[in-house]
Amino acid sequence: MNLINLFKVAYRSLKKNLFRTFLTMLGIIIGVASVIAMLAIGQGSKENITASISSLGTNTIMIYPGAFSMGGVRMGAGSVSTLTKEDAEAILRRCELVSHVVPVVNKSSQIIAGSQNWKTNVVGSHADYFFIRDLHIQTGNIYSESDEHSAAKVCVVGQTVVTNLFGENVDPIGKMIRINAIPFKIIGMLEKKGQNTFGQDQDDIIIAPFFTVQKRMLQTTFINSILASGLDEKVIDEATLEIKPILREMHKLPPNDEDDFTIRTQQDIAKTFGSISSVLTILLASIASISLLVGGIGIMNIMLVSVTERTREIGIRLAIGAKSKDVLLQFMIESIFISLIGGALGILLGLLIAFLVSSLGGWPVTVTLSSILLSSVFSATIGIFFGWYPARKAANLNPIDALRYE
Amino acid sequence: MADSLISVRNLEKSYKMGDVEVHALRGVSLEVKTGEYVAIMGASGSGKSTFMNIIGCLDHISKGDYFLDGVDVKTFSKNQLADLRSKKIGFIFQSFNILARTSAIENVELPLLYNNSVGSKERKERAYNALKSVGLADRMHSLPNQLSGGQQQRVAIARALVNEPLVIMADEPTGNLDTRTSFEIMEIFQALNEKGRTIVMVTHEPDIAQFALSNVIFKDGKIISNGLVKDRKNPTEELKKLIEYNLEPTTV
Repeated sequence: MNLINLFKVAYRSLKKNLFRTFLTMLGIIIGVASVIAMLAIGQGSKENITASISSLGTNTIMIYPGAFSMGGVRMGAGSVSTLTKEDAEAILRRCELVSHVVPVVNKSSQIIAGSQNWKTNVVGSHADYFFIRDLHIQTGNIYSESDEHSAAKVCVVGQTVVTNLFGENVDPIGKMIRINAIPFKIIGMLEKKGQNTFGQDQDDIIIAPFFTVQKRMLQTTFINSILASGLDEKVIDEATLEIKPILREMHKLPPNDEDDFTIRTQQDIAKTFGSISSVLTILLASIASISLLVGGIGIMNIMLVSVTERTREIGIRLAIGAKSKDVLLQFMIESIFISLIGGALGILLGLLIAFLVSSLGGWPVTVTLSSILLSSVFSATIGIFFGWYPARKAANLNPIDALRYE
Repeated sequence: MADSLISVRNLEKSYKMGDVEVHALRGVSLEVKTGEYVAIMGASGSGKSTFMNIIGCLDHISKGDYFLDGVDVKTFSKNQLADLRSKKIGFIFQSFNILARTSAIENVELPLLYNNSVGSKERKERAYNALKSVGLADRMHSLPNQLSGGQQQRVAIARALVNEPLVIMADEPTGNLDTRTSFEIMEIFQALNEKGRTIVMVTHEPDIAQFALSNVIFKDGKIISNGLVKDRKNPTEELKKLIEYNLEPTTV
């Protein structure tokens, strides 16, 4: 029997049991649709997270004090300040792949303005900090170089701070606030940035000249971190490699000692979060593929019932000249047909779900070609895999017994 | 042997039912030549159905020889047997065995679907002609449940004919039919045989066997008699008598 005839025979017998065929298909439809929708949602949120991390600037390098050991006792990362302003200056001087480097000191402090007070993060750094962090001034100005040299008591504030200290829509320029009992004059207000990926309010910040914070407020020689920006996103990894020996030299670390600092880039963070959401996507997809598996078992069940029910028909076919192969193929084609059509409808349903989730739920959704290919291949495989046993059973029937079957 | 269409020698068949070995056939020899019309008779369990399954290439031989159209069937594989059934044998069964929910013409087309040398146009044409030859051309699109028993059996005959087989094998073709319809089926058989078609028919009804050219009687897995029918009856005349005496209500 040629394939066209086999398809006709399979189509005819599926058509005879239209509702049952549809119900069997439904298992596959739901399975494929959920795999597609889950992958789309997972992929969408992954891209969303990656994009929002990238918006922080992918060419930012952050250097934190690292593990510090003293007489064999290792303290945790950040437990001791090992970085200094000179480290930052050395990096800027010697590393050719970075454009800006700033030392950063910061402390969470209580701010008082008139009768109001507010706890916020006070950052002390050079004016380049605004460039590296991609912060923009809405009103007023950034502090000048002479402000920095003289450790002037001026600051730039984020809008959350303004709202909490002075109320909505108040121009804070020129107003005085007290940080740790030191009076500061507000000279600029940042543009609103909103929350970052981690849910932190990026507007809840006060930025003041580096020496003002380090000398006047904290009275320390150490710094909390160093921020640098690469010449280009592509050279970030190389820049990291260049910074490492400079800092080791600055800290006079013997070759066998581990680094007493940690270098992180935005790309690392993006990668970490990307892989977290990849794991979630895989988790979602594997849960969804369980329903695909259940759908496949549904196919097998129906095909087995169908073989039993049609034993006599198989006997007739065998008696009038059908070979075992013909019967095998007929049942295989039926199950593959169910799973392929089910798969196709499932893809459509999956796309519809993804579309509804993104348009009604506002959830970011990305349908990838690979997810469609994956579920097509998967559903075809299911058809073959779960159709094989019942088809084999049909093909191996003895025609005499099959004809006698009641 | 060469001039026999079916040549069976010392055929034995045994199979196991549980722990008991059943000897269904114990040394059967039979020659059927082209153009013969043989009725095989015998009580239930006499081995006639087993014999029919073997010469119909549905079952394997335990011992002995079977040549169909000069070919030694004994060594054939399952697929080769299927090929023989497809090309050389046309089956008719007691319970018609036509596919439910499948139109008459599609049922008749069925054997040709398994024959790759027949294209779809030729298939439809041959199926139509076969249906026409049994007088059902106008019912070609009817489903089995819209047809009477006699009509269903005629569809089965058309299906057996459509492959132009060397021999038609009928297993109790009238077993599920009333007398009048039986005679009508026999009329078709007679006409086929007159056109040169070889027919082997199993029946347990003596009056049906009377329509054949020769009768073979089985008992306990052996042939106990094999000879020409002496006072052979003609189904057309019998049918006429039946209607004249009005023995049976007119049903088709």
